[in-house]
Amino acid sequence: MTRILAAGALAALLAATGPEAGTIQGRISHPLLARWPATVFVEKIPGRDFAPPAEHPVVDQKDLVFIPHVLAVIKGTTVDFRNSDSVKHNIFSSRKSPTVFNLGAYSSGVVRSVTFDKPGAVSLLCNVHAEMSAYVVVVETPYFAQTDREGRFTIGGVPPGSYRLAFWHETVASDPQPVVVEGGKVATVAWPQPKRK
Amino acid sequence: MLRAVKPTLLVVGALTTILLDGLAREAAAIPAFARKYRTSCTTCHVAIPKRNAFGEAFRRNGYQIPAGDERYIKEEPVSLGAEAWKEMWPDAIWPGAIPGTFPLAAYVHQRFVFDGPTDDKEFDAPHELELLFGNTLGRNVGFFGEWVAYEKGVNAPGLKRFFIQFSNLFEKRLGKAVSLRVGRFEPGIADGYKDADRITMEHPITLDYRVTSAFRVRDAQSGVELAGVPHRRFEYVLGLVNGQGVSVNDPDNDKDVYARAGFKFGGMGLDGSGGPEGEELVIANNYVDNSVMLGFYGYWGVATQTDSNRVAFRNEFRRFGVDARVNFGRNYLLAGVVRGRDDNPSNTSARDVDSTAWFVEMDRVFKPWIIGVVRYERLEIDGKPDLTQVVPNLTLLARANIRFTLEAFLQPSLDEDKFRTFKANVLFVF
Repeated sequence: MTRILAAGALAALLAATGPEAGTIQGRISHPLLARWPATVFVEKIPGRDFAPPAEHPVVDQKDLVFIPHVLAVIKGTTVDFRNSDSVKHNIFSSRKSPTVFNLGAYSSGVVRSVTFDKPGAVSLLCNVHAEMSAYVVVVETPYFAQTDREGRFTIGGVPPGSYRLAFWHETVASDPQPVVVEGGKVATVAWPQPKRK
Repeated sequence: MLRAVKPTLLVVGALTTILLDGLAREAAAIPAFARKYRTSCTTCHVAIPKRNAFGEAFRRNGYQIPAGDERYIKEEPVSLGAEAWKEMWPDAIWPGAIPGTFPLAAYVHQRFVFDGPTDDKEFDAPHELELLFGNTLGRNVGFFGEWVAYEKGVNAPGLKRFFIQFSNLFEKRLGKAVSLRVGRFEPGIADGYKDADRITMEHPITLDYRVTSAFRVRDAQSGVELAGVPHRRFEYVLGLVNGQGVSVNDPDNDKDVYARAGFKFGGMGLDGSGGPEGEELVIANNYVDNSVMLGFYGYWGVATQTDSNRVAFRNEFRRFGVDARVNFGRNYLLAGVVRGRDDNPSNTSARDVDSTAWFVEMDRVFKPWIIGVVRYERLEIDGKPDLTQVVPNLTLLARANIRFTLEAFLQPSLDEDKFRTFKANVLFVF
């Protein structure tokens, strides 16, 4: 089961200027999205920076599984990596990740933290348990959402304007799409079928 | 959804007992895949083991569903490393997987045989038990194996086929153009009409005849094979094998080589393009694939044998074949011809023996569970008619994995005993 933190949705709501905010909806059509969802997000808006939340989102390790499998956060967010398992884990990121780190092995109940300052997808692995896998997707705006099994998504609270909408998925990719958001309206985006990475 | 067949007719057929030395069947259907995808045999098979177009694309793709295998997997494999380990290569082992359950299936024949010339009648039940292995080891690595555990009163006759296939090498650049198979396998020259795919119990003469004891097209051989689908309408096969068939260790350093090219017009692409890409796999009426397929192949071999005086001798031989398959609606028309030349097949005065074998077969799917087959085939040696055979067959599917067959074997070329055998067979797989 994959969960994605609602930090983005909450931040979007706070950043929105009340009733003028618009909504972006759409669908990414690919069979693999039924297995692993995609994170859809508005790319960096020139001239605008968004503060990370004060509260740290958590990636937990329980029953030899990272929870959640995909966590989306705003650039600058500090994430807590908690070990709720009965065994030691050693979280590290792959060397191709924008943020490279290695937390070393630590025991049950211990929490170690990492601040993600660079945008992009960070692949998480465990040196002790090769099958464990998770991703932290670092975005530059609070306007993001996760697709459902049908590939559909909804991003609310987006201020009016012209943006580029992108998505990250662990196995497929496609080019960003332009989107124009009007206050109080729904903008629909349909991607051409993405290709396997 | 297949309906159950009332047992009365089938029991009558099964009790028509006949005697014959049954020929071993080779299996290609494998319930391990049915378990992996939680789907029926009919997703890939017209009638086990005869594959439909989707099943053929599945096999060519290394036993993976062409349009996104991961989407349809219901039996989770055991990960030997998360995907992100690829980013750590070459400083880490490339991640793979093994099947979630041991990928084993069973294939059982119960047979009743009547031999016309001797008037012998025999219950040959069970006739054969085969164990089948097949699955993938992560993406683009597949394997398949066939081990005969029992055949006509003999326990553990042995391994028939076992190979590993590395599919879609350099996939990002070459797509499905290059796959490599290593192990023991049925040479891909007969991909147009694979012996393991046939609906009849008798083997087509083009695959079955021998001029020399050391070679028969349908025999599994040990070696390597490159194959691929560079274009959705074109496939090729290149092979290098020990030669000498399946039961003999290679007595010399000579290797056999072969090559095949196949072209398909219409229907599903050889790479599975144009096939189902929905939420679930399609399990009904998959026998329709209106198309024409043509294939051409050549096989060059050297066999080292011993004659009756125990003198070793060499026979250099070659086979050139053409096969065609037309599928229109519920009908299949198949044909194949092979020309052969053996330079020294028996170390006697019989040198430079030419052979020609051909067959024409018509299959019709009357209902999804009723299939009728008639095959006519001939063999000529040095231009003289040697054998003419007719094989009528009626196949009834009680379930997708339970098949009843009634088949006769006639040889009209004989002066006497034109009627050779009648067989009634029950096959079930699980």
